[in-house]
Amino acid sequence: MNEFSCPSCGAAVNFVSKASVFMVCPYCRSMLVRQDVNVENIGKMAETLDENTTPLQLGTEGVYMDKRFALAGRVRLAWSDGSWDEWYAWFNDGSHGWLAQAQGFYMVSFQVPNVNLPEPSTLIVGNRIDLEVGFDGRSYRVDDIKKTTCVVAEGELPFKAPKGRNGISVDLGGPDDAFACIEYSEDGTRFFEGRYMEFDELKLSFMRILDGW
Amino acid sequence: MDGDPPSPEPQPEPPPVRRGLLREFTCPSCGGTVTIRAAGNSITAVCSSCDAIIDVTDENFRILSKAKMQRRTEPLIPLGSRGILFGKTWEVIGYMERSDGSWEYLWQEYLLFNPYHGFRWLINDHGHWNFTTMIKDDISVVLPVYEGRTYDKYLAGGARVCYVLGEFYWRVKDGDEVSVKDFIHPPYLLSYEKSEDEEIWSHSVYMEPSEILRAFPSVEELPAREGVAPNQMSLLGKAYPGVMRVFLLTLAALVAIEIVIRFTSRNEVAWSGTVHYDSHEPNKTVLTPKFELKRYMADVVIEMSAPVDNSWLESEIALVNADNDNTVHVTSGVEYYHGVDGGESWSEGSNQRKIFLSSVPAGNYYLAVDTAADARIPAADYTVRVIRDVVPLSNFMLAVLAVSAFPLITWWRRRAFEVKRWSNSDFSPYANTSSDHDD
Repeated sequence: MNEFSCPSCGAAVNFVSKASVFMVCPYCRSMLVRQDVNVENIGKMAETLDENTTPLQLGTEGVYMDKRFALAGRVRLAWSDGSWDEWYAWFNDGSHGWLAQAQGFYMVSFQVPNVNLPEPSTLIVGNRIDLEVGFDGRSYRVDDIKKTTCVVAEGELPFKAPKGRNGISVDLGGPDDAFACIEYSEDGTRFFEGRYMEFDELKLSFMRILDGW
Repeated sequence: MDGDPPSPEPQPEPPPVRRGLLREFTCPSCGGTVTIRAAGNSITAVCSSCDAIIDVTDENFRILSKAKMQRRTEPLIPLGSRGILFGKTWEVIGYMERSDGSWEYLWQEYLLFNPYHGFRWLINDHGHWNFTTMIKDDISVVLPVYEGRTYDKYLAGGARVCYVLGEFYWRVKDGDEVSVKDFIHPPYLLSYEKSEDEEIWSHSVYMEPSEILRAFPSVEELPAREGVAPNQMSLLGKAYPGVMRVFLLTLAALVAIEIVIRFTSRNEVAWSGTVHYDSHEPNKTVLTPKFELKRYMADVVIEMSAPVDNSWLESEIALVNADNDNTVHVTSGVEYYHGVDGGESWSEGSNQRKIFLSSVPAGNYYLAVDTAADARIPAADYTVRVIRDVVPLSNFMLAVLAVSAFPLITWWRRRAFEVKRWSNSDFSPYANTSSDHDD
């Protein structure tokens, strides 16, 4: 059951991903949380997305590792030196992941459950950490540690993302463009693994029209 | 990876800048208009009228620095210019002048932006240009090999920001300092920059000034290059492997030809005998019996050997073709002197002499020999040998010398270029061999 009507404005809203639990109503900007059979309105998302120069938008499609994906939601995270967007992407094989765009780089990653993660206080930028992931485990370099706040969200998301949701985001890098991220937040610690991607590799379509480009 | 040198085809004109994505705000310091070209990405922007560095992420456009910077140079490529590099359009959004620790050595960096592809840099270091891409790859674990190329350490030093203009995706500060390490594999350069809270690797490819001019048609002229850049390719450097390959192949061919010639040449003695000289008959011409020179056309060596001892002997030898009386005249002399002078023994000359005649036709020949000698020699018998179809080593040596000339010059000039390239490095492989320091 993915179709609901918005409890605030009555518009038909549709969760495209089964994993989504949160949505911003595209018509009235109410923040909706999916319960078992209905949705609960937890308030209005007051902030609007101050449009930047990104070519990404809800509905943009692309390819990662021969799997097609579409962007279903976005959360903008602010830190002391700016902000970046995390796009919630759902894939045609039923999986879902994230496409992050920051400082002109694109990173695609997927959550990997059940990984023992270090405390954020033990991490130092430039140091290497070994994680028990995959067959032999993997070694990553700590690239940056950022205190984040959710400023605004749109579309659907797999977690509740009201404004002010705080967290710590740690970017990790490895050889061959490997990318990983640890996210420490109020409702737990999560680990994501993936790759840095070139724009051309993502074969994006249904992009936003950028005037003048 | 857009690391390949660009094609020389004429580039299409970059699309004109439209106002669509531009954001403008009023400088909180001087009231001038500040333009933002990469909204959402840019963190800091510099007011072009008053040099204030402004926090763009702050709603009130907080001023981070108000100090008037010491303006050094105007950007050669103005902010807002668009150019096509490696098939993509890039817009100049930031400009930064940096120096090494000395504050004397300056270079200029242009921040390029494309909303789809992110950021790149164009760096102008004394007329030399690099197109630079930041890499997130953890390459410190694979160095010195990156993408199949082996890099040499070139430089370890520092860089500090002297002057900024435009907008940046980080919190730029006048006076920002980083330590730098450069590794080269011309035309590529890997650069490592470390600051207190960041480590950045970047990958650069050397660009000819003509490529910059072609990419930015509005730029009319660029300064001349000074010296040799760390990752500059010389035309000679590009041609060098080819020249060496051709050289080695030619050398191999020459050796093969020489071996064939040596195996097939007869090198046979056509005539050998004794010529008698008597001082009582000074004008007597000795005629040898006839002998045959075989093979259609071949070289001949006339060898003489006389028992001279602190004396000399000279022969006028005519090689006469008995069939048609065609004659080749040769004068061949030997002299040998030795003695002891001031306790040291010395000697000069030799009692042997070889005369080489090239391309002598086949036929029946004889020698007519007139001899003259030192008064100390009353009479002597000396040996004369006519050797047919000889292969002189000098032919081979001359050929080797001839084909070596160009590769040698190429090698030498390439080496001179490399010495120059490494003259600014603390890690020069030529450091001990080059005595002249050109400062």
